[in-house]
Amino acid sequence: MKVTVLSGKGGTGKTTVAVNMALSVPDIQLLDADVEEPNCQYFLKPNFNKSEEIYREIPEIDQNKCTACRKCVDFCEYNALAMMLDEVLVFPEICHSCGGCEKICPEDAITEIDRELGVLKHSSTQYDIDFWQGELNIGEESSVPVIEALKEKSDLQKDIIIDAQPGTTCPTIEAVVDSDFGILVTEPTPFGLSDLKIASQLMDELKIPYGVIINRAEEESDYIIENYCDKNNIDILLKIPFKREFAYLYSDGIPFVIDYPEWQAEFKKVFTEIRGVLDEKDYSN
Amino acid sequence: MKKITVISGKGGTGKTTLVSNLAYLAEDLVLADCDVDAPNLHLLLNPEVEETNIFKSNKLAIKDESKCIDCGICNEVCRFNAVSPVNYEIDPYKCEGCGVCVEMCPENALSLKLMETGEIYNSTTRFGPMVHANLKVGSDNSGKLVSEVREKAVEKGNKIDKDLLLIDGSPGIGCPVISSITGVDLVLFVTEPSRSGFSDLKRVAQVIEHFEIPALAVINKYDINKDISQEIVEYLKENEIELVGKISYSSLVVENLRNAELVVEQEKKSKVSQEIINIWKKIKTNIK
Amino acid sequence: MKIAVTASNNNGYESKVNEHFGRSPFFAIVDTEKEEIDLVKNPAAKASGGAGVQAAQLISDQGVEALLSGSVGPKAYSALTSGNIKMYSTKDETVRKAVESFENNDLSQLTSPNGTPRK
Repeated sequence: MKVTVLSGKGGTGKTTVAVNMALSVPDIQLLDADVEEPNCQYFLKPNFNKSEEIYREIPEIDQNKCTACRKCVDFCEYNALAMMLDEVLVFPEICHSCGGCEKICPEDAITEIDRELGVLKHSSTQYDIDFWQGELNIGEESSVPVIEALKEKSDLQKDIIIDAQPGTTCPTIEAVVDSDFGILVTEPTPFGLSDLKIASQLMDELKIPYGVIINRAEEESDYIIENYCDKNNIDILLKIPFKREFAYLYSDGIPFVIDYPEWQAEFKKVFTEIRGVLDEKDYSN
Repeated sequence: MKKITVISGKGGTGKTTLVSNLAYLAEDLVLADCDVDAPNLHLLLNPEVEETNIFKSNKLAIKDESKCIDCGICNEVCRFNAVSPVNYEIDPYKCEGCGVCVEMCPENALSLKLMETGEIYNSTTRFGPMVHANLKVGSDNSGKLVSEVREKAVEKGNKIDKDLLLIDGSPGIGCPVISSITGVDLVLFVTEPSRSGFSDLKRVAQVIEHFEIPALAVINKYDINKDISQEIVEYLKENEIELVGKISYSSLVVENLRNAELVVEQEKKSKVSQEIINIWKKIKTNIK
Repeated sequence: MKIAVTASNNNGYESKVNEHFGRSPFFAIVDTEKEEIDLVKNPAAKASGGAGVQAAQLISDQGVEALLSGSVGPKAYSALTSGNIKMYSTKDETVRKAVESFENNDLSQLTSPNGTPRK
């Protein structure tokens, strides 16, 4: 089973949920797909023992063959090529690696070379979680290929939890698109509600079943989220109460189930519940 | 007009809450919400929308079924796996609008089309005009929409001769955050004392460092973890970023947020409001 | 000599100098000998990415030898350098004033990008 944890915006407790859940369910694989800011590592303190560079292809121009016909420059939708004084310049940061220029060059003057985009790191953490992290190099713009490569590390014998990038743009979609279930993390404020609406709209469009975890829950304010979920038939899977101790543990990079092991049962229950929902769905199909 | 962008790297550090409280203290200004992925400023400032503009920026490949002969070349040449191998349908979430399939299609059955990616609003709040936007779910945020919001706000401010533009910046370390700080006079970091918050602050500061823009910083909820707050204070000193204040953790902030109200307005005498008022004073001396 | 000046609006010599290069709405192409001015629309102002490169391409195709702008980003800087186009930073308000300052040698030449990060 593949479960992705996501949220409409950052800072709602996505990583908290992903990490604590991974620590509560046996034999789990955790993939940190928030490749711009992979933060699971601050909680799991992994000893990375394996790493793999991820490359993408960018064009290289053979100036001897180039006749300055300018077809490649005119073709490029991203303005990654320019022709200055009859010489084609390549701007790798803006290139999306579509391969079009190489295909259309009538002189065969373009070949593709590798450029490092990011890196995947693996570790068995001190908590015995099979942990992979994707990391986008600073200055690079396209996270998607790193996330694709990260997902190839999925061990299908295990249950998998993916920590996605917040938001609803391509990197988030790439992380969640082939998951069995999505956990939307939110908080009981008008901000949390607004962001939850955006995230649930995305999940509806992708037709992936999902439920909600309320983080920093407080009795007097949970209605903000509960009313919306009631009205839209969205399951609330769990409430993590606001506690100053939890905030402190978070700030110090300690998953709170370590200090409050009774919470492991709660996360495990959520996981079992999700499996139940999915089995039922399979059955009815 | 002085332009200030408030950014944080990590989400959820209190950026938008601070911006709206500063707006109250500034009284008369122009506002822009450049967090177009998850805009929240409007929830606290209740802008009245006066003008809506459609924003188009992403191109997508569109297929003319009547010309398609199912040869499958589009599927072969697409690097983004955006063309289904089964029926050659184009997945709009995966298509990056590169145009390779359009070029290679032997039947000219494909073309690139500009798609609607969002809406931009010109609005009014009780503190002054506000420009904000809404990105369509699943659209790619290219930074272009952020630039457009920022530029529209600058234009508005110049036109009606305001002294201050306050921008709620974009999260993360990518292109949008750069678009939200381009051409501003001052950057204000809002950070929190957590391992991840501190790490993201360093990453975004590294991106911003190369701009010759003076930067100030606020540590929000500093007393949640005083040790990390101290580390941040030292980091700021080393990097010549002026710390203009620390805000203590207070349930008053959350309570007001829940009711979509501003703590400096409702609880003027509280400790946390006084801290924010002092921060505003220090910012003012920095933009004189 | 032909020079380009970033322009926020299309108002001949009285056009306002635009602070940034890549997404400048117009470029004033000025022939300093003939004292002719032509305002061209910048298609890169609406580009979703690579605006600096596209704008550099445009003014290079116009055959200009110098650019006056508030700022120039790193990619545009490297493209313009390859195109042998000299860049000058100006804080003047109008195209007319910027061209005057240029002719009086009052503008300093850019030796590194000043608009966006140096990578």
